[in-house]
Amino acid sequence: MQKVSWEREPGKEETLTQSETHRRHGWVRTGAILALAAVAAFAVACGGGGGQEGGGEEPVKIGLLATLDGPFAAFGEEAYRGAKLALLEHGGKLEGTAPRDGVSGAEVAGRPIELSYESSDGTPDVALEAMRRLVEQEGVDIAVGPLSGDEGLAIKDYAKTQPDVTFLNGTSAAVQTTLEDPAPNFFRFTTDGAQWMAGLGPYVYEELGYRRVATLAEDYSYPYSQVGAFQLQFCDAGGEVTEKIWVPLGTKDYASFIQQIPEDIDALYVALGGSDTVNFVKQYDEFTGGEVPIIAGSSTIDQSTLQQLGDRMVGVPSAAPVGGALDTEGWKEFADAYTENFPDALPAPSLFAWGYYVNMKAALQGLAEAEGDLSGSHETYNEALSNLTLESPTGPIKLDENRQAIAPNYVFEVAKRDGTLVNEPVKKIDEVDQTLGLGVEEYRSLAPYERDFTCR
Amino acid sequence: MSVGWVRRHGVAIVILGLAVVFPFVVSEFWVVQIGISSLWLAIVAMSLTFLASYGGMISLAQTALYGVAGYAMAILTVENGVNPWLAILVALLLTVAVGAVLGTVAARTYGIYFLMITLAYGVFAYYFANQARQITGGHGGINGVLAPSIGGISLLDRTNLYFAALLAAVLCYLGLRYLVRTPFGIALQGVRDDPLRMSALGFNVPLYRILAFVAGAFVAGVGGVFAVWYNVRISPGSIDLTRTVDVLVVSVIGGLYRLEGAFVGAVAFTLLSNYANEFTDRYNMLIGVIFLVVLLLSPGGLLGMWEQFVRRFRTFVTRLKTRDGGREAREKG
Repeated sequence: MQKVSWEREPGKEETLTQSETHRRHGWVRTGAILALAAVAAFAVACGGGGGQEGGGEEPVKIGLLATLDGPFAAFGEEAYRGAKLALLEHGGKLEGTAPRDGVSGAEVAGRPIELSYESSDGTPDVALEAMRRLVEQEGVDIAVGPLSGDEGLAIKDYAKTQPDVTFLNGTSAAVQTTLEDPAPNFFRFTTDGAQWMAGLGPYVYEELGYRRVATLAEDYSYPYSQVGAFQLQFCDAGGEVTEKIWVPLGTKDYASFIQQIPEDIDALYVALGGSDTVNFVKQYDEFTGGEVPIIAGSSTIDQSTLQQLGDRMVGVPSAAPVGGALDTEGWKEFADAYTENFPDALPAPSLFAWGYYVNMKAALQGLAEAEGDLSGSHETYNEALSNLTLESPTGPIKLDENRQAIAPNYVFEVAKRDGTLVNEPVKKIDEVDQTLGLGVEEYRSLAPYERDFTCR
Repeated sequence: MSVGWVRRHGVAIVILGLAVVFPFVVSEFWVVQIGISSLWLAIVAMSLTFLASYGGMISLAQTALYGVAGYAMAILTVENGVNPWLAILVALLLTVAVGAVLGTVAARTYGIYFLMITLAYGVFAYYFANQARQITGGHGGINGVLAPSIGGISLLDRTNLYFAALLAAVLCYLGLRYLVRTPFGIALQGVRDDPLRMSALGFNVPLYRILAFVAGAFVAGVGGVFAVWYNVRISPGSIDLTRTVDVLVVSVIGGLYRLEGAFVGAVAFTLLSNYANEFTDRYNMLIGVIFLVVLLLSPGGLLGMWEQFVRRFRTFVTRLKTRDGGREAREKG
């Protein structure tokens, strides 16, 4: 008996302590749950209250989709900067200069603007998922984006399934997005990849006297439309494209392609990305002695290309909707606002900052003209957008019946000024429409811009 | 359905019940972007989990295989207007055929070499899709692949598509579960554990591995069909290296040793990739860190973690019971 009671005592003690700890743990847990619930309730209350207090009017939600992952990430940062600059014009204040830092206080027609962000990695699948989050999860009224052409095609298709939301383009520039089967609620205040070539063909034929040209470009849809539109206008002016060479994306060694370039040409049209241009031109010059003149696509030349290739690039013509050296009043104001608000960014706003700026500006101006009316399926708002004439940094922009921009385009030429190379505008082409002046019927009857696009 | 059956499959019944109720209690966004997305991802990941856990083959070719099915669906229905049901049949047969060819080449290699060969398949499929423009539409891919109707029930309706995906996922799961319990499946596990001994016993080891690879290809193909309906399109970006790694992450994070792991992993991955960016700009890093933490805590992934927890809980309860029982017994004594 003694032994049993001796054994029982410590046993009892142990169970007691254990149940005690249990009870204590239970209290801790209940406390934690209560605290969490309190925090949640507080957050909900604040969230609701905040919404109520925000200026009396219901806010307009705008979603912004650009590309912050993958190979286009740097362009995506530019895109966000451009879009925010448009909000600053409506009383917004930057909360910081990082891509996802918000803009507070912007207001249009008495309604505060609420901005939400999403990012893709440049693939259409991810862009679509991100856009779904903006529209179906965040419940945005207006969506601005995406950045690249294939994403644009995906978003246009999606727009058709969401008639109560208005979509504005970012910088995506595929021709088909608005030319074939356009969505009634997708608006593109930026020009497409073919429009960006407007004026270059006639310019090199008439001013530079080129008659026979070969082309070398990357093997995907954007260069197809660039090469195709250049070819179309060059042929119409009287020139001849004798050979078209396509290189896979990411090519570093161009030797086998250089072999295919004919020798009896007046100039070579090159549409490659920035650093690839440097690689290619250096290799090409080793073969030819650097004597063949070059014609460049819209994104072939940037400031670093010019620095690395130096005097070789003097006199190289190209065409684009914007350029750092544009001297219009509107562009200077835009560029100043850009450097002032984003001192650590590029020396001048890029095509991506411009494109998102233009589309966001249109979104806000349309909202002002519709007096903030987003009732129903945005009938009033969409009508206002369709009839908008936008004073953009590069000149007036309006839309055609497919809601595609009719805008000015510029021919540039590299020149040396005070020892540095600049891409100077030499010619402005006003009111470039999507069909390059050919009319919809005729333009559609031409083969879509593919590798084997031929002159008329 | 005896009581024992219900008790043994209790967890499965509860989960399936939740999956059936799911579309009626959440918003449409959740049905699509969490529900359908998780399901097709789970089907693809399940094919990898099957190959890894029962065949000892960690294959990086599953994205290539679902790409074959996806592209076949897109090309047949969008560009040639083929009846969608015929298209599904052709797409799956084609995937199985491609799986057989790829499997035949890879089946004689093991470990890291098998991994490398299947990685090469994945990369090859990506570049092929990117450059064979006449067939695949190149970089932009093929747009507007719409889901068909089954006898008046349109799969364009998101809830219907969700249930179709759920049905397909359950069938694939039951099919694979059945397969691993057949003599073929048992022999396959023998091949996984000791190919030399199985070979000495007279089993045709490469054939078993090829057949397993083909079964995996079929399941991946089913996932591909739903992926292309979910995305409404397919492009090289749908089958690139990032997507290949995603499938591997889903399988591993869920638990690479049981088929159910694929579902757990897919749901976790989909939730993370949809909501991680609300907490931080560096959400890819966050996903990576969570992946590492899960693997450090439990090599069996989330499923392994759950099982560990259940085991500990059970021993804990048993210990409490025996202790209380012992005390009662002692008090009585």
